[in-house]
Amino acid sequence: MKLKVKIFFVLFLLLTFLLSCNKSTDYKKDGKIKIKLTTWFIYNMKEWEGAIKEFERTHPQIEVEIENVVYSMHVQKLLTSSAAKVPIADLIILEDWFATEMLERDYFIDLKDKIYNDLDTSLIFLKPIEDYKNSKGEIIAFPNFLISSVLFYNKDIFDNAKLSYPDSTWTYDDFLQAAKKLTRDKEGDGIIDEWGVQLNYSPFLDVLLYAFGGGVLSQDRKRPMIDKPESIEAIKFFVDLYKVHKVAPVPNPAAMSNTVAFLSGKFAMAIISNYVTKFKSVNFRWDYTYPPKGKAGRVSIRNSIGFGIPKTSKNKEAAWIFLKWLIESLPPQYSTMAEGIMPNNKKLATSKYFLEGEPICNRKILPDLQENYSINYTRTSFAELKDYGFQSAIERAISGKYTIEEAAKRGNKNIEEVLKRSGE
Amino acid sequence: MHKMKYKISTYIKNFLLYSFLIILAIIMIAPFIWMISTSLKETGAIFTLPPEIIPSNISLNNYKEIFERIPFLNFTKNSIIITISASIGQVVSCSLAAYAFARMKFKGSKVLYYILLSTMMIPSQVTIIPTFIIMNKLGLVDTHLALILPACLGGAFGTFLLRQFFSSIPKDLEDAAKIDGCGSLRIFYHIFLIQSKPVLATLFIFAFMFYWNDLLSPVIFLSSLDKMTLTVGLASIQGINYDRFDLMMAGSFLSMIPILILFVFAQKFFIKSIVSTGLKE
Repeated sequence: MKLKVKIFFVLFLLLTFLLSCNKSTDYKKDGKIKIKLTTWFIYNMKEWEGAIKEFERTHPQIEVEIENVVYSMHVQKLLTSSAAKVPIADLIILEDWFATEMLERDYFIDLKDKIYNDLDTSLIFLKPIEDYKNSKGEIIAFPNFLISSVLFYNKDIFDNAKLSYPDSTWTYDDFLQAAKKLTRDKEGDGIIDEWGVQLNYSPFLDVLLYAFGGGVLSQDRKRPMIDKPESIEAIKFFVDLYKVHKVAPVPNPAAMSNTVAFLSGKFAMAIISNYVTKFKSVNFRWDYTYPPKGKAGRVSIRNSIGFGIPKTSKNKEAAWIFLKWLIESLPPQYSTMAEGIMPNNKKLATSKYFLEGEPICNRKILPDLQENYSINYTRTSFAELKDYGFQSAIERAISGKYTIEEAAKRGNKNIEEVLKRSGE
Repeated sequence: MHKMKYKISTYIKNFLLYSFLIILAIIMIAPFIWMISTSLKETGAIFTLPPEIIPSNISLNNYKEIFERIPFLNFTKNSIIITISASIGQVVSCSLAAYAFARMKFKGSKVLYYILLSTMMIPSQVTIIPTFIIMNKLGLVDTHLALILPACLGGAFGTFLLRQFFSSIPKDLEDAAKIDGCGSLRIFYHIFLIQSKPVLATLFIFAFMFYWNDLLSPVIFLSSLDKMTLTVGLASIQGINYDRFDLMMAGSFLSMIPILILFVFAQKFFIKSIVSTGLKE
């Protein structure tokens, strides 16, 4: 009996301790409406906090709490909370490639009317908004920050080779010729010390596919395009950079490592996304410019980071007020708050603060790239479509297991399978 | 002469064996050394070629910065609360379930046991949504209880481990206790738990390591910054396209310390348990 009492006592203590853990956050405090915003820009937290302070000063009735989420696990958290219809915040950060998984889930409110009636649309880049549109025509998020793929180049390597820097007149022929001259075995030991190009599947291969007149998906994003002759030509150009011209080492399958590779200072050129925070502390001179022109013109792959308001949020209006402020009234000094990518506001994108923000680079090309050359083909099951769909096939072409034509055919078939599986 | 030959061959064997073990040890310890080395480097020095194992400029800035960048102490406190509570819950609940499966005869016990074992094959990602819905219905989302409560409801691995150990305890001991008038709970406590200290310690270490390193559940169930755990804090240092490896390594090293301490103190039990489970039956 004594033992039973002891066990009961221990369990009681344990339960008391457990129940003493705090309950969830109170969303209203001191009569103010408290909204919660999620971001993943931990290295720009000072800018975000500064901007929020500014917002709260002009909107004293709303208090904004910011939560930094784990980027790599955000999709899983979002999918879980959408399945359970639980709000994790009032404004949830999204990126276009996984926002597509949320399009038909009825989790976010439709922002279409708010965007087209409540915002000054002459101020914003409208194309990326389409990337968040579902089959009912609803827009589930507003793309606040726009990413472009640009041609990064290492000025030191160009100067040492006495070559002029790439510019807006370049074609892929110029790109190839320069890459050949820039690939050097400086010590003569048979090991390449500086490569002309850093090959990558995302976004470089995508850029090539569309610039050569082919593509991954048709314009309505419903049919694969990988086995079209133009796409095959683009894949051949990509594979030949490694296999025939030997101006690039084998591409790393992980997209995240592209910038890291270029940062090593061993590559003269790379077509990658225009995140620049990492470049603040590199020990070589660099800049970026327009991607070269292909047969079908110039192409830059567009991506974006936006915010959506979940239907289950208790403070949808307050969340919209903050989002609208972030889009239209963000003070220019905070315009680099998203790792240096461009805010979706033409005034901010051309402001002195953004153009001259650290690290200094050719940001003035970004509005033109977004407006005139940007392409996006994200859609439901995008990650699967990209990795399994065609990247795996092209990897086999790189390793010599497939010919270019076989890789294209296999890629097309894989994409068809993914499209069929995702039910669209 | 033979003795001499034998000695030489033993020396050679030992030399080869130790050389092999030393190489293996170096391979095993290299990432750990690299982690400490990176944590002591300046941001720009990580990618220098050739790589430096001992940094030319040793700096403790990363350790300082990690405390500024995230509420490290608060995250550590949360991790400790969750890990210790969940590990205790796991050991208590698994030992009770294991005792029932090992010693109590009831209808369908075998079937139940196999059903429980089969849950080991279901990845946690599959059950996370139903668990999330349950926790939400209980109003426990964004509380530490959402992470602790499931641990207190038993686990297949822990139950399996303890059941195997309990099955090896002689039935005579139990019978003797029964003759002395002990009930089931007293037998469980005085015979089974007391005899099973090493294996209980092993389960505690396993559970501790699992809950300490768990990233998925805290990310899913917790939302408020003040409730986050250390793993979430460290993972959040990873920007979307900007990784501060130096900072992450400093944080990872600090977060490893409790596990190292626990292992050093419980090593005796751990080894004893492995040895005893290896000898049994």
